[in-house]
Amino acid sequence: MRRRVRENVRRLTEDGGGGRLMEDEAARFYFEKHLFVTTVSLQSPPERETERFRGLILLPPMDSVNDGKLSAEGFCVAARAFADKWKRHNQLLPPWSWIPLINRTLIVPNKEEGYLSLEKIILSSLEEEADSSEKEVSTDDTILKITEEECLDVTAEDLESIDHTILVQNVEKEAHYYDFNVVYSASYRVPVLYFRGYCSGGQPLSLDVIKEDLPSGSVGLLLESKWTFITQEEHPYLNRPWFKLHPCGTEEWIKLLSAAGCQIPVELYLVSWFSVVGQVVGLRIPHEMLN
Amino acid sequence: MANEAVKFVWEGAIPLQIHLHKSEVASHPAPPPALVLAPRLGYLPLLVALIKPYFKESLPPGEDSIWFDYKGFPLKWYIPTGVLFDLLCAEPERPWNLTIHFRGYPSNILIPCEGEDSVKWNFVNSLKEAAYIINGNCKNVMNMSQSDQEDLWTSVMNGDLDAYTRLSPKLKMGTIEDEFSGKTSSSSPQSRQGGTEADVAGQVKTARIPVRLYVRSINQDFENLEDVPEIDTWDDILYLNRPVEFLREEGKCFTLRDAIESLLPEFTEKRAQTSGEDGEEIAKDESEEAVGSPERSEIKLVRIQGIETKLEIPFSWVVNNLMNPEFYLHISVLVKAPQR
Repeated sequence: MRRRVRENVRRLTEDGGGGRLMEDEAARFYFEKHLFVTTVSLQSPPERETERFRGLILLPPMDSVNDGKLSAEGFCVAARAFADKWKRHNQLLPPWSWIPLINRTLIVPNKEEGYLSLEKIILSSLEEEADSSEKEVSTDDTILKITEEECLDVTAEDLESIDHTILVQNVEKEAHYYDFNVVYSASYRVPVLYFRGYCSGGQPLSLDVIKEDLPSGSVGLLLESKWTFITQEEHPYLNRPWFKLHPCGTEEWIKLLSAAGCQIPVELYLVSWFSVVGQVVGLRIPHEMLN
Repeated sequence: MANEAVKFVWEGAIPLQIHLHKSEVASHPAPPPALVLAPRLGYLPLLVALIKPYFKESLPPGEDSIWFDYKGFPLKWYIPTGVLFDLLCAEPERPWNLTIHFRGYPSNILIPCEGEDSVKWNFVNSLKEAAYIINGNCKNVMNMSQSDQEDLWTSVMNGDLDAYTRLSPKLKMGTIEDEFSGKTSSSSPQSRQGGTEADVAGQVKTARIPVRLYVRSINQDFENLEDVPEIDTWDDILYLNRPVEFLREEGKCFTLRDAIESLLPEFTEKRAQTSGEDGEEIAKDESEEAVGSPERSEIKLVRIQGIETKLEIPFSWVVNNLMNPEFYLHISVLVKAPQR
C-alpha cells in the first residue's frame, strides 16, 4: 500500500513537460488516501440512536456541510463539539482547550472567536505502530505501549493501576514536545492545523528534527513538496513562527467525504477533518469520535 | 489616471541607510552605512545581493543568517518593505535607518529565510491565498507554467510593471468596476467565477477582497505623529489576514471606512438617529449618551502604499490602484485606544 502511495505521489509531482506546480496535488492525494476510514465511519446505519432521538423530540437535522467550506460561526460550533468528543473518548491525552481571542485594540476577550489548543504532547514514531498493532499514547514523561484492544478500555483512572512493567521510560533520546492549534482560516474558509515542536528546555525544533517524529508517509510527501505541504509561517494570533499544514486542498477532500454519500453535520466537521489531518502528524482519533 | 496611480505605486521606493551591527564589525575602522533605494513592493532579503558585497570586508568569519532591525526591533522579511515603513515610522524617517545582522538570527521571532527562494515562495503562497479568496480556488495559479511563474516573480523582483501587466492576466483574477470613475480594471481582485454574487432584484453584488490589516494601538495621547512612541514588540501590532466582503448596492458607495469597519467592528460608530428641533436628523454618538461609558477607540491614521488615505475614498478605487502584486491590499492603521 505504502509503495503504491509513493508511486502515485511521484507520478503526480513529476513534471509532465508543462512545468506545472503539482506539489499540492501530491498533498491532496496523501489526504485522500486517508479518507476511506473516515467515510466508512461516517456512514453509520440509518437507525442509529441519535436519529431516533431526534425523531422523538422533533429536532431539526443539524446544519451540514456539503461544499467543504465552514463559516466562522460553524467553526466555533464544530470546535466545541470536537473538544467535547475528544475529552469523552480520548482520555489518555490532554483535552483540547478553547482559547478566546483577545481583541488587542480594546483589550477584551471575544468569546465567540478563538482557536483550539492541545499542548505538551510527546509524539513517538508511528512506524512501529503501523507494523505491530500497538498504539503509543504519550503523557509528559512516559510512553505507554498498549495493544489496540486494550486501548479502547483504558480510562484516565486506570492509568494508576497499570502494571509498571509496560511503562517504557523514554531514555534513549530527549523527549520532544508538541503543541497543536486548530485555527480557522477566513481566506480558505476551513480549519488549519498549526503545530510546533520543542525540547524540554523550550528550544524550538527544526523541521529536520520534526521529520523524525512524523509518520513516514508525511516525510515522503514533505520531500516532494517542500513549500506547499508543511510550511513554516507566523501563527495568526501568537505572532511566532509555527508550522502549518497548508489548507489549500482541504475543501476538496472534505467535498470528497460529502460526495461519498455522507453530508457532514457541522458538529462533526472538525472530527472528520482531524481524522485525516491528525494522521499526518501522528495523532489518531478513536473511531467512537466519528459516531 | 488609474494606470498612473498604479505606476506611481510600482515606482515607489524608500531610501535606506543600512548600518552593520557593531557586534559584527571585524574591521577597523567600522564601515560607513550603505545607502540603498528599496522598492516599496519588494522585500528586505532581496536587497542582500546589493548590501553584502559592501560589508564583506568587515564581517567576521562564519555562516551568514541575515536579518534586519529598526531601533533594535527585528523586521519581518515576509512583510513588504513599504508596509514595514508605513507601520513602524508613524512620522516618516528619510533615510530610514536600519541595521543589518549577518549572525544571531532570532528564530524565535522570525520565520527562517533561505534567501530569494524563501521570499519567492512566500509570494507564491500569498498569491494562491489571494486567488482562493477571489475565485474560490487557486487553480489558475497552480496551472501557471513554471516559466510564466518565474517571469511573474522576476517582474515583481525587478519592479517591471510592463512585464507584470503582460503576465498577470493569466491568473484570471477578474475585474472590478471602479465606482469612482466608472472604469474597469482587469488587474484587480474581483472574481468573475466564484467570488461575486449578484442579487438581481436588489442589485447587490458581493466580492471577497484579500486584505492584510496591521493595527497599531497607542494607549497614550499624542498630538503629532512624531510623538507616537516606538514599538517594543510585534505583540503591539494586531495583524488581520481576512477578506473584506465587498458589498455593492446601487446608489451606495462602499468606502474604505466600510471596509476597515467590517474588519474592525469595534470601531463602527454606532450613531443613534435623533431629531432636532427644526426636524433635521442629528447623528448623536451613543457613547456620549451612556453615562460612564468607556472612551471610544479612534482611528487616527490609515496608510496604504505610503499614502495617508481618506476613509471616504471608494474602496473599489483603493483595490484597483493600491494593491500589491500578490493581489493583497496591505493597510496600516494607527489607533488611539482608550486609556485604562
